[in-house]
Amino acid sequence: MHKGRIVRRAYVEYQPNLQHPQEPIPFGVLAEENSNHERRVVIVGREPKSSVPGLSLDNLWGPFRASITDWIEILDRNVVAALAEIPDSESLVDQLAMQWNANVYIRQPETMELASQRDSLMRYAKRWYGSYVGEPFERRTVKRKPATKTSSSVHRRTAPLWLIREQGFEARA
Amino acid sequence: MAKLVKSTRWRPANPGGGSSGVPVECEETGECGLAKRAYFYQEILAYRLAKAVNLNVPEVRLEKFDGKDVAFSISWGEMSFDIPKLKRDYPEEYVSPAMEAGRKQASGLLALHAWVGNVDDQKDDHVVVRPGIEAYVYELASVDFAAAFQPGRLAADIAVTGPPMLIDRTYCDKAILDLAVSAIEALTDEKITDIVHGIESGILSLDDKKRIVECLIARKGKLRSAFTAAGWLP
Repeated sequence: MHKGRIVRRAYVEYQPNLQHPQEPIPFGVLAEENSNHERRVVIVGREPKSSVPGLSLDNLWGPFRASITDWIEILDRNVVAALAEIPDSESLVDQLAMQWNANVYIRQPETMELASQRDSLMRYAKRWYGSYVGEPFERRTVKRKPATKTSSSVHRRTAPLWLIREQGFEARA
Repeated sequence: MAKLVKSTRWRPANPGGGSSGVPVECEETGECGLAKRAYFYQEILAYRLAKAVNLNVPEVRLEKFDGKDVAFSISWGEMSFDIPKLKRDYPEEYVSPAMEAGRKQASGLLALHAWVGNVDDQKDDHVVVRPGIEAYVYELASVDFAAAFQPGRLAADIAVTGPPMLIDRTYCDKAILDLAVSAIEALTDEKITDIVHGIESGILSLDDKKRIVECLIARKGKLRSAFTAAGWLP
């Protein structure tokens, strides 16, 4: 018998080249807690907002580019749509994992037992995000290092590399 | 045959069941794709026939995974996704002029589906799209030929068939469809025989190869009249 809270969790990552794959790039975490006729879903992740090295964004266009740069917004819409119709007994994370199987994909969901009754699902998700991405969750844009001086001695403006985002959903049965 | 290993660099959740496949990588080439444990002669043969008539079906090869033969279906481009995802996540793109052009350009696939008798289980999940070399050019391809080459289907009259998004007359380019039918008609009996008998022994019996060759040769001669009778070709 489970003593703690039961959560379904899955990582989201990006593979830039499905024909000759490189190391996948961690994007974030999707988690769900379904108890007492209340379902909570959280997304914690980072979206690349400019040419992050290794992401091969330069030549992409339209939906192929948006599927990477706006993945949280797209997953957000998918969560809202799924919440409206998913039966209580089914896992929303599992359902979405079946649909997200392209370059940006959801890995095999896993069941977690949470010890703390006090910490929110969002708080857990941020910790998981930190371990997975390798940087703590901070809701701010990550800046490039300041560029070195150019020949005309002008500093380029720093541009955001990643936009860190969190989204939370609640639905009652 | 090269050895496939479970991919550690592309690891989407496993849908389980059916002929969906396991994400794998080829140890020799580094290529990535799905290992399908069922219906694999159908997948390999459909790819080889499609290639012979210049129609878009991602490469499928016979390889070894976990010590067993599998159909290794290589990904359709560095970046691609299936049509349900495009419709769900980018509905405005699905109805865009660029996608309309992509659908028309893929009209020839209808000739392939009809020729190989791929009648059952037609759905848009079995159409994949990738970016073309030029911006805003969509390149579509058909995947999943598990239902093709069945004796009953191949012996029956030719049915015009295909995934819903391609079997829509609004988006059919008759000239492109005509070209595909012509390409199939132009395949010599010897070439068809070579392709079918080129399927590795052990995954398709000699009797089945003979049956398939006979049916494919007979059906290529009836393809045009079937499309004409159904109003798809003049």
